[in-house]
Amino acid sequence: MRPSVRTAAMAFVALMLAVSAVRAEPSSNESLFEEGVQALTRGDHGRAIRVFETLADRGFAHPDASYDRGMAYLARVRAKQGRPGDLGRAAAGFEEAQLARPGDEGAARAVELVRAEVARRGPRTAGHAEMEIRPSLDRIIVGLAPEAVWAWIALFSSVALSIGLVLRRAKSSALHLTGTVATPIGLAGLILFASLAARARHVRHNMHPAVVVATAARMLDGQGTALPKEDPIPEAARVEILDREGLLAHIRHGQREGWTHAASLRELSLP
Amino acid sequence: MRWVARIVGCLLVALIIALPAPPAFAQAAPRLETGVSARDVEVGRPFTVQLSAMVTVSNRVPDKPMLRTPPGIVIRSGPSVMTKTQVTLNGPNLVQQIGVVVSWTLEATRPGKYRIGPPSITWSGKRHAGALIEITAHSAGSLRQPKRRDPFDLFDIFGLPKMPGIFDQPQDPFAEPLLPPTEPSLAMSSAPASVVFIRALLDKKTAVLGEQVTLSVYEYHQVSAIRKLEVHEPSAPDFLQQPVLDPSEEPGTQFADVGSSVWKVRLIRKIALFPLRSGDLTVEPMQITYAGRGLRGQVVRETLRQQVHVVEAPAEGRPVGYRSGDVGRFSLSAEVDPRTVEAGGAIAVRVKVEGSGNLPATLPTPSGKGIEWLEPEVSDNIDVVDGELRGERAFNYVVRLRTPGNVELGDIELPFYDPDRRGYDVARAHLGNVLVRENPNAAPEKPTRDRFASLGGPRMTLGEVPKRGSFVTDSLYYWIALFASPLAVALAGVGWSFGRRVKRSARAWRDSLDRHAKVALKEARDALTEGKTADAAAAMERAIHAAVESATGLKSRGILRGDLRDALIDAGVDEASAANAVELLAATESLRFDPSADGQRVEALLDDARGLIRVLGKARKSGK
Repeated sequence: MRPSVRTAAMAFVALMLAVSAVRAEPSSNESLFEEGVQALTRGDHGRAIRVFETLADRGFAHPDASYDRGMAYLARVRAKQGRPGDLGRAAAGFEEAQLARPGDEGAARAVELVRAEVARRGPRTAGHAEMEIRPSLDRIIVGLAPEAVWAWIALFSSVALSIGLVLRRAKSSALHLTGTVATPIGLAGLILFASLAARARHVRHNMHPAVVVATAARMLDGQGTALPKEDPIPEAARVEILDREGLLAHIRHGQREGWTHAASLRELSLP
Repeated sequence: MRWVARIVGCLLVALIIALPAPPAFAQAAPRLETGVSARDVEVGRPFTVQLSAMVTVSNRVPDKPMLRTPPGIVIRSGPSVMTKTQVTLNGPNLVQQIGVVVSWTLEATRPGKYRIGPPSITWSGKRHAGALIEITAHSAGSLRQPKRRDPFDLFDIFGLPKMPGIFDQPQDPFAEPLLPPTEPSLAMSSAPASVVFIRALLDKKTAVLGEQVTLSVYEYHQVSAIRKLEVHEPSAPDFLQQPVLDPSEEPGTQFADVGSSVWKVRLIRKIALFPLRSGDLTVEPMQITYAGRGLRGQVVRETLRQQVHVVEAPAEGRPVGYRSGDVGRFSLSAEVDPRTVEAGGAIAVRVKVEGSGNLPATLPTPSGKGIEWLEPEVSDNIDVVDGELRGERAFNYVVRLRTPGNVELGDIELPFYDPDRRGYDVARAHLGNVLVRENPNAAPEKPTRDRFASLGGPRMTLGEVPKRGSFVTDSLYYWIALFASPLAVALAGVGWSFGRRVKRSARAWRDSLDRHAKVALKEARDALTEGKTADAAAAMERAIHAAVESATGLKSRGILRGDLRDALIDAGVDEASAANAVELLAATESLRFDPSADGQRVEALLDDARGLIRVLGKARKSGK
């Protein structure tokens, strides 16, 4: 009897485990990813889009899932069943993949191709010029080096200032001279590089990158009235969301700042 | 004959005027009448007691109304006093009376039989009471108050709204007014405005994105003869709006307790709102400008701003393909026709969504190789049932099939969130297969350039995700270290300089002549206490020399006694102090060698020395 009881118990445990595995399987992000890939492979881009959007909805931000989401939207465009904004949504997926995995050449190439396609399809006047972002001067300066470089130079300046202040009290004329020179240089360096490090940190924390997922994002005033003299931002262009108010988003696109419909943007998420 | 009739008429009028008037009701008791709105009342439902007191016009108006109530009956409001003038024809004479009609609103707090009052008033210094009122209070909800119909009002007979002003009866204060049943959900503790006001109510304050929220706007009024001059509809830009009640509709009037009064209430707007985004969304006030009886000119009444907290449908259990806003209860059905088609041909697919809630504007269609779904034609049949939008939306698709074979169209799935069940569900319609026959006449498809061919296929597996490095600037210690080290060095330098300066000052003070003088004076006092007069004198002498040197810079020990006075005056010391210093030095010198000197004399000298040292100190400080 004993072996049979043990066998039955083991079988029951195995069954329970199997049931729990079956139950858990459909909700796991990995299985959903596989389902999306399969749908994409067999040409069911509609299903693939829904699966990858569900993953994004769940907060599953993985560069490969984002890349495949972009591919799903692109598949719909390639099947000539694209909807307005599909190229932008594809670009958003590829941009997200790049953000999560800097140096992802495949994603970078895909973004380039999508933007080229948008420029090709768009009006001649818009073209590539609109797609290229000219950042503001402060962003250019802050972007000259990584944030960590500014931070370490600021720290080095701080040390130089401290040593300079000590050496200024030295009786030896050589040391005193060194201190006299090091103090103002250290002070200036500290002010400059600490400001750059702080600004870079601020940009990093307050930067909400997004991509235009409409045929064009119209520039509006704070009340939502269209500004006809302002050129619209083309599909697939990358912008930064600075603020949100109701259905509007305050954005920065290169040196331009303004409001647009939040629905025409897709905010990129990071893992 | 007509002139005869005229003469007779004139004579009759003259006769009536000439007749003596009947004696006035001077000093007669006021005519009192007591009334109650209902003899059978419900616990918690207000009823009214009225007392009318009329006197002749020549007398004073009755005042100081009073009503005693037994336990179990409470006065909710009152007395409210309304003056009344009445003119009656008494024989050939017109008799004018004035008086008051006093009303109390009462409420029974428990069932039982009660004797209320009698209500009374004061007139000519005497209190006059009306009739005792007997009522029976029944438990709440046990009585049904039938609507009283006016048999002479045709509109009322047919249940139509009463035509204002035509069939209105003159108000009889003594008639038992039948209080209409009031709607508890519309009750208010107080009226925000007089005569008329409007009130907005939301059926829920929290909703899921896409869930129906119903906004009802009620008009409360006491007077019917008012008109609307201008109406501003409530704006709600964050919602999709669908009127549930047509603004031209006139639903029946209800009644509501507002404070102690009963107001007429009319539903003037009912709108289904579907939130378009999550967050705290606002419904702006509705504004109506009124004019009419009881209002001073044009008055603007507006509802309060309403707020709805809108949240996303829960993430837990969310099915694949759920789109925010698909909230309600839906079912899907589909028809495909024909089931056989030639390659390149098209079939019709009709998908019908039925249910209640926010019917989706689009449907997710299945996709596949060689299947092209064209934009559908959409038709609606939506109605309001029990304040909820219900109906169907039909999507008529044309689907082009290019690849021959038995093509599986797949399923159309509509995941939705059911707010009543607080869970998700998926409505499905299976489309089945379509046989696509070869079409020898079909034009070969033109090859098109795929600009994305170089991208290859999708990524099949989830690769490694590079870990995001932590940033040194995110650490508070970094910023502390950045600024703390130079700041600490600078502060240490300042502290060191300050310490040195303090040390120098302390040393200078310790070596100062002033301090020496004070120390010597103290030694003199100590010596005097011990009875050592010689030592005391020596110490005093040292103190004076130190004070002189501190004040003038003269080393007085090295100056002959005879020259000292002039030297001190030359150094800026006044004559008296200079002479005093010389005398004190002489006295201390003699004391040093006089063992018999008594303590009092030494004490006196010590005081003088202290005084001199103080004077010299002041002179030094003033720079003399």
